[in-house]
Amino acid sequence: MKYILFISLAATFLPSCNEDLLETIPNDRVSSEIFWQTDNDAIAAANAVYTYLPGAETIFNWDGMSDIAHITLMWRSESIIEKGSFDATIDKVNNEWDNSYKGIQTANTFLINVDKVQTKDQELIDRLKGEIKVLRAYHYIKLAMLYGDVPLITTPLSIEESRNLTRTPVAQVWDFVAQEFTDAAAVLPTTQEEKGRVTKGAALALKARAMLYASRYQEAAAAAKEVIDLNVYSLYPSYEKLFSYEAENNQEVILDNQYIEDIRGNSAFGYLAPFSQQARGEVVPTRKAVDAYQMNNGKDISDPSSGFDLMNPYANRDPRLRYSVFVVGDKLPNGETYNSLPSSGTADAIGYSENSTPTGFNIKKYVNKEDFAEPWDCGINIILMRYAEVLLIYAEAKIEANQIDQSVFDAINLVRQRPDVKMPPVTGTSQEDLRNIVRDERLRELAFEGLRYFDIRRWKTAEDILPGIIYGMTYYSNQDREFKTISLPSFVKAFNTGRDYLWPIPQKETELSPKLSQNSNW
Amino acid sequence: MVALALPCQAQILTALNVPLTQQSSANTINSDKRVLASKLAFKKVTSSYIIMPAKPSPQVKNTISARVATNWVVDVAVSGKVVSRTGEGLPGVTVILKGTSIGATTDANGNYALSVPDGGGTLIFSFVGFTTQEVPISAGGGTLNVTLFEDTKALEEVVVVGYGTQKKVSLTSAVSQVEGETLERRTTSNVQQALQGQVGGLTILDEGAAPGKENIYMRIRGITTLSGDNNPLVIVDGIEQRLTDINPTDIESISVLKDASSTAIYGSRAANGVILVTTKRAKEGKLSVSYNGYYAVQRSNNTPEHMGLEDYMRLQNIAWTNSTGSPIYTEDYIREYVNATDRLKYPLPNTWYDAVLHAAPQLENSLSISGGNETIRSRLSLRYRDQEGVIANSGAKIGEMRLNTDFAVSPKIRVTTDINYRYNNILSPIDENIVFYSMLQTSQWTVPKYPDGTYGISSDGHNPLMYSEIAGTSNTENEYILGNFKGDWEILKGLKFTTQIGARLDRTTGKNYRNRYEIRDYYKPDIIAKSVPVNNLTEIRNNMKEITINNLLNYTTTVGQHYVNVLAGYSQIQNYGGNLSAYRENFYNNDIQSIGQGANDATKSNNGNEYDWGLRSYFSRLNYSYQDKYLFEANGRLDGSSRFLGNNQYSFFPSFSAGWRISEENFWGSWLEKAVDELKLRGSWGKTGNQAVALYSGIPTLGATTYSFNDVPVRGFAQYQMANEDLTWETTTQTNIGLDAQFLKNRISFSVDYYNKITDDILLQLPIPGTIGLTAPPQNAGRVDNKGWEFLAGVRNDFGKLNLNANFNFSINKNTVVNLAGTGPYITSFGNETRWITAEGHPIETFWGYKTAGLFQTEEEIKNYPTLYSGTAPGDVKYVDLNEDGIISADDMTYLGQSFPKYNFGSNLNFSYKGFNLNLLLQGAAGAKTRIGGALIEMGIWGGFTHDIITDNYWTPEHRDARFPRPLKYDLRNFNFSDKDLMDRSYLRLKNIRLGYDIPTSITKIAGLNRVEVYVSSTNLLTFSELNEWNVDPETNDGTRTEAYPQTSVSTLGLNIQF
Repeated sequence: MKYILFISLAATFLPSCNEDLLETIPNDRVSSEIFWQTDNDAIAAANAVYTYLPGAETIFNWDGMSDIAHITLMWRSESIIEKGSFDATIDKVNNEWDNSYKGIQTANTFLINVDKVQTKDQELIDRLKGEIKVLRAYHYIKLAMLYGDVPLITTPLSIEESRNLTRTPVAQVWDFVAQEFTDAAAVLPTTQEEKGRVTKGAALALKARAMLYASRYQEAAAAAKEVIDLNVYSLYPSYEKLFSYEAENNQEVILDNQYIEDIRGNSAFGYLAPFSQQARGEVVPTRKAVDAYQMNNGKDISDPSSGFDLMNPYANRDPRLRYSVFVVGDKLPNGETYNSLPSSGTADAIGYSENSTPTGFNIKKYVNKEDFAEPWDCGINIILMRYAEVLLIYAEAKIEANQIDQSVFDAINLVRQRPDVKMPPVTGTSQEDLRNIVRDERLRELAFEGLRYFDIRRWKTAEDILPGIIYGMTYYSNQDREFKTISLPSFVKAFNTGRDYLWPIPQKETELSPKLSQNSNW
Repeated sequence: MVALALPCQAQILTALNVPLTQQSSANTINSDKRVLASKLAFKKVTSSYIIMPAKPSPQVKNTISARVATNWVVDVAVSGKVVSRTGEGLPGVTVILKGTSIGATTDANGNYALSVPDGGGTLIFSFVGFTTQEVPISAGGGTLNVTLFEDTKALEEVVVVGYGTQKKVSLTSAVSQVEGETLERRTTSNVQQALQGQVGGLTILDEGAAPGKENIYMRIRGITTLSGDNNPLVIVDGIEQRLTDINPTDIESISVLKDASSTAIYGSRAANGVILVTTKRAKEGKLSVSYNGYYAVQRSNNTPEHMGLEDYMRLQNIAWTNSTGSPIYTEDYIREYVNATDRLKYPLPNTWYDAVLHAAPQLENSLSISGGNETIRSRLSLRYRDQEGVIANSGAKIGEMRLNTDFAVSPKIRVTTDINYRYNNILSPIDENIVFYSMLQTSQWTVPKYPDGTYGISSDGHNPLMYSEIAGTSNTENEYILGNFKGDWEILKGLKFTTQIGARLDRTTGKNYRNRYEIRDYYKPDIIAKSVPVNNLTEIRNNMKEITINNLLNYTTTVGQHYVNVLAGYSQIQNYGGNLSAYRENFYNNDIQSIGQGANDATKSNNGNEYDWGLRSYFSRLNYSYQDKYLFEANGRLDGSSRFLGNNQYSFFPSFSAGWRISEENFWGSWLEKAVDELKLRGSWGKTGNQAVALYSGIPTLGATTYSFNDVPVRGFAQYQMANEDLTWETTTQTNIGLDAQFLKNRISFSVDYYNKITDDILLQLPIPGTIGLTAPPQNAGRVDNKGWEFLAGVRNDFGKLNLNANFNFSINKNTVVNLAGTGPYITSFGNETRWITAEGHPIETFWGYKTAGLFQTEEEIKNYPTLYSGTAPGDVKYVDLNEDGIISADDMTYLGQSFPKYNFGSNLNFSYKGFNLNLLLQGAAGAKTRIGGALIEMGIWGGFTHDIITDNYWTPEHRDARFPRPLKYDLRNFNFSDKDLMDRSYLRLKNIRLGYDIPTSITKIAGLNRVEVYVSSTNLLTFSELNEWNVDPETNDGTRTEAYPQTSVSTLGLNIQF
């Protein structure tokens, strides 16, 4: 009997059946079903779209794949593109596609759902819609430039829908982009309370860039003119400081990717600074970039009358050279002197290590001494569109449209005569002259800001200027008593004219969405 | 008469339904007797005692415990000789009076003597490897000679199976059992290592890694799933646990359940096989104490030899010349450098393996106390283990306690409670991976440490010794508590109800502290050679709680020649937990390591997450046998998992098996019986599942992200992963056919199994078009096959005094990806790193790359053959244009061999001779490849470790038949992933050798000890492998080898004491 009692007593310890055992609802994440109710939901969803703006390394790598810079680490897939030996399976070709569509998806989800929000502040919702349309169109500019015809997607897709996608002709993509920017500009304010948000100026400036890329010069010039006429933007007086912390959010910046140290930092310093700064200098300027900077008398260094001195090659040059590039003799962030000569014995000497510059140059833009301590966690904002580019877009569009007037010269010279640049004004008459002038000016003004790769492709000059081995600095060797020019004979940049002006559609995509056609010769 | 009295009492006791269990002690019998005497006085039971004076024999010297005789029982002497079947005296046999602590051990000639209270009793003779015998004592004692037979326990052996035990002979499924004793022979850090090579079909790859973080792969019968978990389910005493949570000395036995009929009762978690661990429990009797302690020294197994100084400088000159046209060192400089004697000023290129790795001690003490009476039995075990790592600031400490207690509340009610507490502390350098990475891949040309303690900094800014010594530490403490309660109630004869509640608590706290430091140049102290200006601390707190409930109802009956066993059960698991982490930086100094002391500004941050999951199951098993000859078993389990939604929440997993003991048939003639003792054919079929899908995968959720406007962080939310509400289980269907045989009086045993294991609905991260903009959800799509054979053989025999016990196992597994639902192949690649492909028709993760055809020898040859790179020159690798389209591209890549071994083998050889015991464990694997990668093969391309094997073995115009290509600086063209760098990973190694010596009992008795054994052992003493020439361990991981904490060899000196 007592054992029956024991069992009964023991049974009271048995836990009762837990009905909810299998119905687990996560409480460490937000379920989609309870979202899209308040203004804060709309703001949070919009904020997420901003995170898809291109980051520091992506921006710098574009120039590394162009003629003016070089990617030092050969295992990067960007380096394989630089060599021209890539195909439709390579990471970079996939990633640019995937990341763009991720940004587009997030934007589409926002635009589809945001009207579910019960708001009393319709102005806020309209403004956010404008911002998100601009961010979405930003991705389409890049897709159109890299891949040509791409699927134009404006709503979230099911797997089934995505498998049946076809490519939209690029002209329609440009039409869409233009219309989106126009619509967004209509609702966006000229200035935003929170710096870094998309403004009316950003919509118009990006429209100008898109239309220039699309060779719709009238529209490009008109959009650029609209930005100029907003009278909100002007050139920052110091080119030298333009990429420093003290210049963040200055009057020249139209759109940037905003970073904050520790919380959302970027790797600008670590990625660009010379090796002696405990950084890796993964993208370095080539000789071509350095030679593009004129003498400060406005003459090209190749001009015998320019006064260029091979013994003193960096003196009396366009000041933007030494604001943008570390050359031998420059002050380093840690106070030491940059000396990349092969015999210098410093960590920056060519050949000292795989991370020492192979060309003798390092990029200086965005290398701020504040980031020396934590080179891979920088808070510096990465500029995606600034007023100087708008001026040069305006000039180029007018030149290409053959509507050359004083405003064209004014725009270019304004850029050249920034207080700490002060280069002589340009002159010229023929459309051809001016075309070359504005193109060279874009190189000098916008070097290492992620634009050159797209420029040489839309100008169709890549086939001429890209292929060949990479050259670095020329220096006088005291030991051998002669000038020596650094070259990288085993690294050859290549360009396949009939093929490379468009990237391939990623092979993974053409397999998964069989109705997507491939670009020619891929 | 005494001799009659005892059986007589037993009959009476039985008749009165008073329990007389086998374990009943003499005391209780005696007390029962007194009770009976009062009840049954008229029978004068006690009158049959003959009272004799105690007469200690002169031979009584081995008596360890002469119990004080009760006032009415007098001690008598018993002595005799214990011999083996061949008549040899057996030393070391334990002789115990049943139910008491009175006992002795036989001497070197097999003689024993002890004095026992008169009044009858039974002596138990036991000896390892022999069948225990019980012999009644004649009245008045006297001589009792006994012959012990070798243990032919195969027939009686009981095997632990899911939710129960089964006689091995009536087993119809593929189960291998390993005894705890076998595992204890190895000095290992954990149970997985001890299991290596012991079980056919269980592949264990020990890839090394730091103390407490051992990287060990366990796979039962191959790899069944692509993305999920391939680890077997581990159940310890009925509760799911990790093998690393068990003290190896607490293990009574381990069962490895391999086929579906044995595993289906674990349903949705069983697809990768099940490992059942049973811990030791106390036996009734006097307290016994057992101590095991050892001291061991660990040494790295990966110590490659660097190329000589001058050879290396010349190699670099050739590499620079090939890449840039000019050498980097002048002849004068080479001469100056090579002839220099001051290696501080002229450091050698790479001395890190000497500087960073050192021999490391390891110490373990374990103690167990066990004993009890028929109502309470208890076993307490304690273990402390302190293992240093082979690099600075690394090591692991374990302290643990287990108390297993059994209560017999009544004859029909038994209760057991087990408590296990474990403390585990793991220390490692904060950048442990960078230590090993930089030893191999960078850090050339510097002095590890100057005489004054200054660290040298290599040209590329590294010093692995500095990283290990002063960069900071990662210190993780884990506390684990298990409470396991179990109650058995025998409701009726043969009908038993069992309930079990187990709780596991797991709490981890970690401090990852990164030091602030500054290294000055040794020769120019005003130059800062290296600085880490900010220190920081990340603290983590993880906790997990899991409650398991098992309720079982078991009914067994025998009707005539029909045996039936039915089991019905319910089980549920509820698991929840969470993780927290916090970060701050800029502490006052490196000794201040508490999170609150860091800078309280924007640099601080924290993070956390929570999770919960549940599993609810109903299961049943039926065993039926007729005449012990025809065996049948059926299992079924209905499993419900919180990981799935709606109709997919529950799934059913059935299995069936049958066996035929051919040797029990009448036609098994006498001539056959002489040779073959046992022959059994068995077959099984069943389904098991795998629920290895990330939690909440079916629920569309939003992830948090951060952006900032004007340096003010803002929160964002977006969906990142597509949800799949239709997710369901992976199902593995397995068919098994096996044959078990015993020959020559069970001296030889043999068993073979063939299996075919098909896994369907494999959860794949099936790629979806990137245009969707979300990460692919897991989907049920793929199918993978594993087919294989397992052979086991055992031999036990005596050759005079030499006793041999040997086991061999060999297994073959063929893994094939059958179906990827029209997708794939999946290729993992990163630049020129190791590339794997998972494609239909090939094993999971097959190597995928170029084939090569030696080196180009002439410009002519290059002109007539496509090349991967422009600028290809003689001495470069000739990648094969496999599809002959005139260009070398990704289309020319092909399958280069599998990465997971196809063949596994092991052999455990045990010899004993007199007091000596020699144990050898041989283990190996074959049919897999591995890549030599990174600096080890790249010939100083960047300035990493350059292996001596390359010396005079690379292409130059003068040395055209070289094995390696021409050296090139900063150019990877010759190191695209290709067959050239793949090596055969096959190996055979003497995994463990152990020599033990039992100090003669005549000596140990002086100290009052039953048994004292001293032993020496060594692991990984001898290895046969193609990889030996690279000085890398064949078990270390793929890719850039030796870039992780190495495999070690452990030499041990140990002591076992029992009293």
